[in-house]
Amino acid sequence: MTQKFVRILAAVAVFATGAAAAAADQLRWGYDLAPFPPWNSRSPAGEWSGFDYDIMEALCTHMQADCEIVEIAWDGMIPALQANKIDIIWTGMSITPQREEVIDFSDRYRRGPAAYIAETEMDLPISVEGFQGKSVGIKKATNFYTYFEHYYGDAATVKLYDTTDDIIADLSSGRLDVAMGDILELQRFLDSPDGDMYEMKGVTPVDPLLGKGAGAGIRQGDTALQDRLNTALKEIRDNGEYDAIAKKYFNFDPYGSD
Amino acid sequence: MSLEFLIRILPEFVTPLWITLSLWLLSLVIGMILAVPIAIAASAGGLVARGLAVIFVTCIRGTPLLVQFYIIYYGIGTLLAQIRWIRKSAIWPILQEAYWYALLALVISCAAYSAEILRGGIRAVPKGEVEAARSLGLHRIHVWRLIVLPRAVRIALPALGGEAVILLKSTVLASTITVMDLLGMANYIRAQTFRDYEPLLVVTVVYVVLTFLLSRLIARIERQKAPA
Amino acid sequence: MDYSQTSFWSLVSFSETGWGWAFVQGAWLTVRISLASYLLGIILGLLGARAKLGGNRTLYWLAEGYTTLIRAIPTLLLIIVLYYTGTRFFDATLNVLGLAGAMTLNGFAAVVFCLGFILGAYMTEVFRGAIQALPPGMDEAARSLALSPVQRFRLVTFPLMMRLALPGLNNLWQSTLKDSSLVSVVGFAELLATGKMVAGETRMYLTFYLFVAVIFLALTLSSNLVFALVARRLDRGFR
Repeated sequence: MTQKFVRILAAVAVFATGAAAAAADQLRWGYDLAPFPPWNSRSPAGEWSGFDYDIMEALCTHMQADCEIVEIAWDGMIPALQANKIDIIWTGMSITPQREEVIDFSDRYRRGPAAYIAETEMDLPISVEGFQGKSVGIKKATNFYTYFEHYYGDAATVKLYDTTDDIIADLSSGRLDVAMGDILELQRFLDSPDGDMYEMKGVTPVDPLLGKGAGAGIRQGDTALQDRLNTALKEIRDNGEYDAIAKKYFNFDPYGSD
Repeated sequence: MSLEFLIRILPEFVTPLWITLSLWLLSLVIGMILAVPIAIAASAGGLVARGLAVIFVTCIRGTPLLVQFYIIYYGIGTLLAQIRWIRKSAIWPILQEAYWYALLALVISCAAYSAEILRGGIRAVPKGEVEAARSLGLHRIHVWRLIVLPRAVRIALPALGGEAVILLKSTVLASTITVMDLLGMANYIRAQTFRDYEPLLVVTVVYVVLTFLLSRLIARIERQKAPA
Repeated sequence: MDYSQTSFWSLVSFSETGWGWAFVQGAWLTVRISLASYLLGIILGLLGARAKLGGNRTLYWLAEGYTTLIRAIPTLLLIIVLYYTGTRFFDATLNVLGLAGAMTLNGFAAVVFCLGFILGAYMTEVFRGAIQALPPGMDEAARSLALSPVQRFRLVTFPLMMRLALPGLNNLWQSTLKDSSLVSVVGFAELLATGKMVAGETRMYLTFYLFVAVIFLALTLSSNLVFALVARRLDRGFR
């Protein structure tokens, strides 16, 4: 009876753990668990696509690396990178001085402003007076929060969320007055039928607190990877691959002007 | 790890501590009160009452508390918001606060688990005592109030104490629906400073102290109320 | 995308636009995480019980510290602590051993390590209680047959203890299944994380969280049945 039990346990162990080993020249790219089109989307079958995904594919081809996607909650990205669970933070992490204290970045690969959305009937000037007494939802561990807190933190009540989806859920259930976030992510909500009663109230100006655009986050001192990424990024910027991908999704340049 | 940073963030945890404690105490009291009728229905109710009580207890005990938090906060909360008159009514400010959804989820959970414990206690009450009470001509309600329930509660006391500890630990889930409880505050500090050790250490120590104190308190109550 | 005109059944279908497979994968991952951490928990629990009852004072206090501390801290908090700081500790240990980078914990292993380590503390108490409840005569009889300590454990203590430990083991399996949903918070794409993703995408929050709850209920109820069958087998000869 005991032997049988041990055999069953052993069988369960093998089947439960499966085979998991990391290959030599494999790069693990951290993707935000909550996909947000058009930057990145995931089909029901788990296949990724979108602008970020296409750029990653192009970079991997140029770096001749074997790339793997690891899905991680956004506020766990930096810990996961430091804990060596991924090699690269992808899906749009803005390069800010605060983050640069703990991780390194490649050059930027896209840049866009943040937007504020609220109910159409609400009067919301983008000012300290306008945000007075309003509850504003922002995603955890984003530079949008740093920016907002700095300028309007005393006036508004800030609530932090794991995903933009959760912010939109609370906005549409009236538990939030304003949602702040990536302009394209929020635009997609406004375009949906649920977004009928809401409109964009404004966008953020260029500001050092909003960072220098989004880059690939890498471990501090990983200069070899930094060089490879920057070289590949320059190659696809120069040979037109970047622009071709951008045209697939947008009618403007997501790289942003300098 | 920096002691200076640790001391600097300590004051931030005072309000969250009260939020955690009030969530725990309120859900414990309300949950245990609700558990009584559910346990009675499950052990002595008619077919319908018994069926409903058993289904309620099975569903709550058979699913993760975190899923229940999401169902109540994102599921029901979003649904309520679509009803116009509710958004215009006086209770709307309450419905906007994540705290009340967390409280509701914890109350439901505490009621279901305690009801199951109480049901076991009711079953363990010696039949002779109930018959003796009936033979004295006591009314059904009096038999329950004077004999069965006090006895069942005493029998179930250690398990109910255990439930109180589990409930205290369950309050951390409130942080997943934007409540600024102890863990909520720790996550907030982590997200803003990128420092993991210090805020998490504070919350961990607070919970260890709280569960230790609570266990001592429960042990004392058990000694006083233990069936002779 | 507008999902307001789409029926629930087509959203959870296995077609190209349905999330059927995503849910199957999520549920399968939930089962795998639970099984693997349960197994690790059983091993740690047996070691812990042995340490508590073995008579060695150092081992006793180590095990006592482990069970007291782990059981005093909320599981969600422990998962966050172990997941983010535990793996750094793991890497540091490899560094000290001169094996830096020789092994990395992948997400699955890290999650299983966290849940199993937590579960081990609860398992220790279940096994300790069960072993203590065995009549001392059993062990004495085994000794008088000149069985080695390993044989005594394998042939006498273990099978007899399992019967007594079964209700506790069933309880812990149920909580493992349910607690595995907590790893969605560190971004592991198990069943609840899948539900969260689909709920956010379709904005049908109530529907999909209820759907996730139903799948969990099916898992807990069906495993209850398995435990009842095992209990009947182990009870043979006792009634």
